[in-house]
Amino acid sequence: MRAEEQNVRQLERTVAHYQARIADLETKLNEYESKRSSTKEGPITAQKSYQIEYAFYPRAVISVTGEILQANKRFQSLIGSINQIIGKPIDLFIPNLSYQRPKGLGQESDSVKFHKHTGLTARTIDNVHLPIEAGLTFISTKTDYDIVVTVLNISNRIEIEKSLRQTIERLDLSLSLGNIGVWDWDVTNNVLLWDDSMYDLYGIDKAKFSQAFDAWTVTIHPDDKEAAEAAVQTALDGGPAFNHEFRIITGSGNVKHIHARANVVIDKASKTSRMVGVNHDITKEKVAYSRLLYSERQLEAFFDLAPIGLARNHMDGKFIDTNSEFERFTGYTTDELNELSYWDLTPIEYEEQETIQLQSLDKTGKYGPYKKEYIHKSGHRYPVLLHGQIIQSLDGEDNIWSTVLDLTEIDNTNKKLSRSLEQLTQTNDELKRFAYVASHDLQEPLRVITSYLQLLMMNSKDALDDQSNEYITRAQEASTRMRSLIVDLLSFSRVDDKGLVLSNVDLNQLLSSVVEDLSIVIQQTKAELHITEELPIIQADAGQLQSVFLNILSNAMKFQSADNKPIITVSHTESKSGHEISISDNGIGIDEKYHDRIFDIFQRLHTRDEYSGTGIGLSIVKKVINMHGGSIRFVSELNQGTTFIITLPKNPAFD
Amino acid sequence: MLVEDSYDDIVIMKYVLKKYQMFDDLSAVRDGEQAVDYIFKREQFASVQTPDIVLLDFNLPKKNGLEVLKEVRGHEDYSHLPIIILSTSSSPLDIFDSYNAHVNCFITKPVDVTSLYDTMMSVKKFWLNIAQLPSKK
Repeated sequence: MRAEEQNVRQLERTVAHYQARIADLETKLNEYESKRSSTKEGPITAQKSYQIEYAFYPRAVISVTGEILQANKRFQSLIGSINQIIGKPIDLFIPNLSYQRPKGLGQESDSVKFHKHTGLTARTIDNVHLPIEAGLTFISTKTDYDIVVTVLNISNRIEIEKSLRQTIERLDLSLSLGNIGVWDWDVTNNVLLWDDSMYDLYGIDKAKFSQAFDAWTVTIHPDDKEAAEAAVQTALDGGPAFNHEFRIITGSGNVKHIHARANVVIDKASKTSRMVGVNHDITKEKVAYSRLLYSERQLEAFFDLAPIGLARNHMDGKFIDTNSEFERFTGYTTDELNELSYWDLTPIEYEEQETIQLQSLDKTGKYGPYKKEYIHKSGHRYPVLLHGQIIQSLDGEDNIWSTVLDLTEIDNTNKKLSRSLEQLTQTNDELKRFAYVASHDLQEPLRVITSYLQLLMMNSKDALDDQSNEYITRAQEASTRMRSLIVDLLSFSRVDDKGLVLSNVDLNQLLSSVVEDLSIVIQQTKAELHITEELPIIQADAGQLQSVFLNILSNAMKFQSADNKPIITVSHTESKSGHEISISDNGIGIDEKYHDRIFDIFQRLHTRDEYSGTGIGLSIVKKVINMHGGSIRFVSELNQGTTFIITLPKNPAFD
Repeated sequence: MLVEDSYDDIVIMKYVLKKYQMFDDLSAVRDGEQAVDYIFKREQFASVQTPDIVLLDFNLPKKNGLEVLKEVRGHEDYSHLPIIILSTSSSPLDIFDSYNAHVNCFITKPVDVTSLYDTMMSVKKFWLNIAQLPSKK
């Protein structure tokens, strides 16, 4: 059974209890009256009169045979006037009323008992049927006994009950739906009563609730406690009614938002005060609301912080909202913009385009992105990119929301970039040309120097002393080095100058022709060359790949400690994506610290006295391999040897 | 005849030729216009002899070697003249253009005196001793 219904039942029982008490007291009064009259006014006649007029309930006196002897005003107004009912049998008006004195009830005058009869129906003189309950008191007389019938018209109560039940049902429904709890606080005695919903709401076990005011206040969130208590006190002091929002921490530790309302009820007679009220769990609403607030704050912040112009316009073009960025690039303030339409910012020649965009807006609800110009407040024009759509405002009006990107900077940057790119390309071309022409033109005077030095030798060798002759020899050697530098530089600049000439290159053949070119060196150094696997046929620039192998193989023979016989091994592995060709030697190796640098142009690791060379060879190798879409790396150990590993893709993406 | 703008080259060339007694009547001009005037016997060169063979530098002031070559080849009286281009350039394009314009031979300038001697010796032997040239007008 639901708590509310129980409460009503409890109430009914209390009412019935008091009714019985009242009837009892009245009977006692009657009894007292009869005793008084019998002692002071002589013996009571059979037709004696009972004091029933002032009874609270309709009351009649009947004889032992059921004849109505007496009726008070309330009885008369319920059933019928005195002359219509006196002397008539009570059965006419209250059928089924059993007025026989129950057995065991003594005949002594003091044995007065109240007997309640329920489920009766009274019939009035106008034949109206009323649900009643009746209480019977048997009063002994000298001869027999009289019966005082007290009628309780319960038709009102039934109505009330019915409506109460409906109310309860409704209330119950709303309580269960709305998380509403009901409480009743006897302020004077500090007893706080909660209904079950309150316990559910607060997540507190009913048995553990002390029913004191403090038992409630301890549940309030510390930040809200003081204010809630103050609001209660204000209401008790006669201030505004208690209508307060606060947070509680439930038994399980959750925070809930509560909206509480209460009325103060003061019983003047007992001088006690109570507060009766409800608690409504508004957590969901609060959370939803704070989320809404949060996203609203976010939107507001983004609106104003956005590095892109944002504007809301009426359909006719008038500005409603604009953000700071929009105001920045238009040059107008918010107030000024509110007086303007976007037509005021649009140069007249964009009218046609603007019309097309408006048609799109009409058809699809969106427009753009499209590029046009705005007129700045100061009169100059600048490029903007617009994109927008219709969004209905809260009042139902269609507005155009637009993002407007100021392209001034972007356009400038783009111009600068393409200018830089152009310059870069030009510089790059010039550089390539420069490297070529420079190395070319450098050869010219070098040739002259070399030639004069030779002429000098031819002419004056005998006339000069040994030292002078040595100077000339050294100058000639320097010229020779310079020439090989120039030649290498020239070939380096030619690598990407000419681009790749691709064909199917059989690396086995290519390698043999390189070996042939190197035959003199191989003979001199007594080098051994092992090719462990068959090499692949790949798409490549034969001439350039040749220079790769030439450089690596000659390095392998060159960078050897004296008297060491060079042993060179070429091997090949194939993977899904490409070929890996390794060339190992047993040479002096490359110090770890130079690993990053050996492919740099002009990078030499040794003095000329140790090993000759210009330092260009490996940079040419790397350039060629890179142009073939491949890569080159090496592993090396000092005095043990070096392995160069060339990776070439099977399907090269040539530059 | 030598067409060469570089004074040094002329000096070195003359030294080598003199030392090894080749082309002892070598005449030299310094730019392309003079070369054309010389060959066509114009202006101050009205009374010169038509050279046996022309050693033509590729990069020349006023008119470059290729222009001189084309002009000579276009002239009905001198189109037969043996012309050898001596160039520091070994650019494939220059070489192609030269042969396209009917140069007799394209030689990259030797880098030192020894190879210059070898080259000139070969040129002399081939053009003056082996090759049969048309008789001069």
